[in-house]
Amino acid sequence: MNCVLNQEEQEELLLGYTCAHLDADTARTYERHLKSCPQCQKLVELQLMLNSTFEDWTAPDPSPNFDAKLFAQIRAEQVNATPWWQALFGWKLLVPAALAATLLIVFLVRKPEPTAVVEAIPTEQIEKVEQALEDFEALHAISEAPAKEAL
Amino acid sequence: MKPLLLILFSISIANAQEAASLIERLNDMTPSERQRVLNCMPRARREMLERRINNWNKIDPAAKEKLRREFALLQQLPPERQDAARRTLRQISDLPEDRRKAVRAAIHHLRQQTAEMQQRKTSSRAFRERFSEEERKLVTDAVSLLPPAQAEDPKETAH
Repeated sequence: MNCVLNQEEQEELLLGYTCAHLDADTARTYERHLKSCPQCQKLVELQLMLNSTFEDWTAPDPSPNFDAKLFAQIRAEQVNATPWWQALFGWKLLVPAALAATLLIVFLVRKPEPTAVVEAIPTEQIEKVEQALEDFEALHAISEAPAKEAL
Repeated sequence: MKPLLLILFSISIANAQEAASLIERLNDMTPSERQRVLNCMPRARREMLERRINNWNKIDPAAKEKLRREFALLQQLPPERQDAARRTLRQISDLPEDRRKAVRAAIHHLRQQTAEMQQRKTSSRAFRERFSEEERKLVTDAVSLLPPAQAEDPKETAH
């Protein structure tokens, strides 16, 4: 036969009853329920057994250098778990290092852009061009001036 | 004497063409290429050159051809006369704008005249009244130093 109590009620009453935390009325009501519910009877029996086991058990004393050994072991595991590059540089240096490596790869792999070869013009030729342009400008200014109204 | 003159004129034409082709070469370059070629020049000089190239580009082809012929004739002159002509032209370009325009217009007008007519006009009262002594000198120097003006289309002058 299934218990009429839901799981939450069952747990609350079970723990309260076995620890003697229930008020008298609730405890009497729960006891009446236990007489008619073998499932709850079984649970109470198991919980009482568990409680008495915990009461009987005493924790063994730790060894005198337990803390020192424990922390030494934790440190050793942390060092072993850290990759060599992280132990060496730390993560903050990793970003610029990765960026530099990427740039180096790009620089080595990329083909140089074809640049137009511009033939140099010797200085004396540049001077000739300057002179010619100056002459053209002066001659053009005269030929553009309105001659009809001049004199 | 005539073959020598012909040779000199051919050299002048070749120089004018060389200068023009160099201008075109600079003209065809991208700004960065031009800057690379002209990199050794001081900035102000390079900017002046670029400004003059831009001005040259604005001139129509017929006027350009006429200027090339005038330049060839200028180059044909003795170096001292070329220098004197250029000095005069620079002095003119240093005048205030309104006077510069008036002086250039007078030179343009006089270069189209015969030598006799030039003489009459530069001796006229109107010329003396219109220009200062310095300006009159610049006008007469330019007219005497510069080669004769060229027609825009040489075929027109042949008729």
